[in-house]
Amino acid sequence: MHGLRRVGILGVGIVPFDKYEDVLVEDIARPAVIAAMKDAGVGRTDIDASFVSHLYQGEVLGQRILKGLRFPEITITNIENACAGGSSAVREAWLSIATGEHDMVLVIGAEKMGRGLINFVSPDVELTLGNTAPAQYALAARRHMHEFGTSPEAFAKIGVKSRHHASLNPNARFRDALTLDEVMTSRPIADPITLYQCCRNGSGAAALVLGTEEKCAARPGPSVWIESSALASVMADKEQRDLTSFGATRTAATQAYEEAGIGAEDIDIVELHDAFTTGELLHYEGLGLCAKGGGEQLVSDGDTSLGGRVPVNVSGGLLSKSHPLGATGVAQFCELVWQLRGDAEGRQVEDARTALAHSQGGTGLEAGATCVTVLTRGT
Amino acid sequence: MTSPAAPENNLVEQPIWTGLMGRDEGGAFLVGGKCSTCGFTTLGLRDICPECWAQGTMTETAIGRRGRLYTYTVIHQLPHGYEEPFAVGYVDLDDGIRVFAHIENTPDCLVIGGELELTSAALRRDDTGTALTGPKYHSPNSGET
Ligand SMILES: [Zn+2]
Repeated sequence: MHGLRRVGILGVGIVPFDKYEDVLVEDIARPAVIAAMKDAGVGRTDIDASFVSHLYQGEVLGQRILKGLRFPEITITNIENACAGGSSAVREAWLSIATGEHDMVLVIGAEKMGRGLINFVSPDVELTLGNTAPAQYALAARRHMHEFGTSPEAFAKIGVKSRHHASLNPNARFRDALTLDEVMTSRPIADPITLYQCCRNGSGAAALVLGTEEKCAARPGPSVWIESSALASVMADKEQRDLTSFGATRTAATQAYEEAGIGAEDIDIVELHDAFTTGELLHYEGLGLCAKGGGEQLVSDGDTSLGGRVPVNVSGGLLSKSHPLGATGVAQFCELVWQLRGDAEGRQVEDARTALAHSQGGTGLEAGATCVTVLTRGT
Repeated sequence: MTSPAAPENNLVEQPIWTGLMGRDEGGAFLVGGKCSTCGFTTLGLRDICPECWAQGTMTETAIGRRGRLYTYTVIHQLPHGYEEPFAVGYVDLDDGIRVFAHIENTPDCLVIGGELELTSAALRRDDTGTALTGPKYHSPNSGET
């Protein structure tokens, strides 16, 4: 895209994910908004618009949250794009500033969830026949094992890595270390996926303040820029497509790299959609962090662990933070901003300058959304 | 007031998804739609042809009697209505369509690339005990009909 204004992230705030059974979603979300606004050093009259992501929270969630913080009559858009809603909201906010409509925008992701398998509102024939979210990622994994000889341990190692990272992050929810054996022998969910290879449901919120270059200049400390953000869709309709490769991840990543003028080799740190360990391994390949079929080698070499070549999900990811659907994609940006600022105490990726956020959502492997965003550290 | 005798639930069954399957002299099949204008084939009969966008041109055609297993998994965390782990997979049909279906949970049926044939089977029960039937594939060599 041409002629876009540069957009930075001025402030981030998170309400660490947990159950929050007796708390209203509006009350879960407001502390994240306040934290992001304070981090940005701005007040409610500085905000022109807000993009708000959620999946199951009913009508006009953003208005319900912000009226309780006495925001004025700003432009508010509520966004649903399944589990990619949070990143889609960030992308819309970025575009609204980049194209000149707004100068400073608030992004909110919030969700309050119950337990168990996600109940899709509009079940299709596959879900009616008993397909589940973990089963879909298991089906992709099984084909990957068949084509590339990938071992079940390769996926389980990602579960071990996630907990190791989470043990270093006070914002993570499940922080006890796990051994490879503990992950492998945990309760089977959908073969080869076991319990400790699945994200849990969660409730929580995250918020960002985005602004123009001028607005960012007013904030002390290093700036964090959004270089590009690409949103691609899976539109398969019973076709015989390659399930070892999430096509939309590849498409969105290719576009995001191109618009940022970089390649996959330039990425220093990644937060990606690890709803299941098998998804993370396949996304390594989709994002170009390794060649197709190279996912097992990458994780086994420790390349995606803290201290490795390109650390992935240093926050603990969805696996160890849990997954409040609409908040997840926004929370990824909180971690990446802290990392790019050099503020990720105890888990800092050394000299992180270029970061990638990836999230994926849908009702199945057939129809969904994938968003890839590239961030860089300024001065 | 007398209520009608309760049916014996193990004798009652109904399709899990209306219009998904049929049966003729060739046995069980999946209901497909074929566009009389462009020839495009779909799983399920649709009002609008996805390819040429013609409306009302799709006519019923039997598909899915045979296919090859693309991938599979055994589901252990059970969705509502299931009582024991079950195998599912994607089956690639000759006409280019890929269908999600239950697969017989035996080693000779769970072979990627292996040939499979369609049966109609009780997949789970609903809350009243009615058996819900749907597509289940098994290996032609596994001896079932
Ligand atoms: Zn047609």
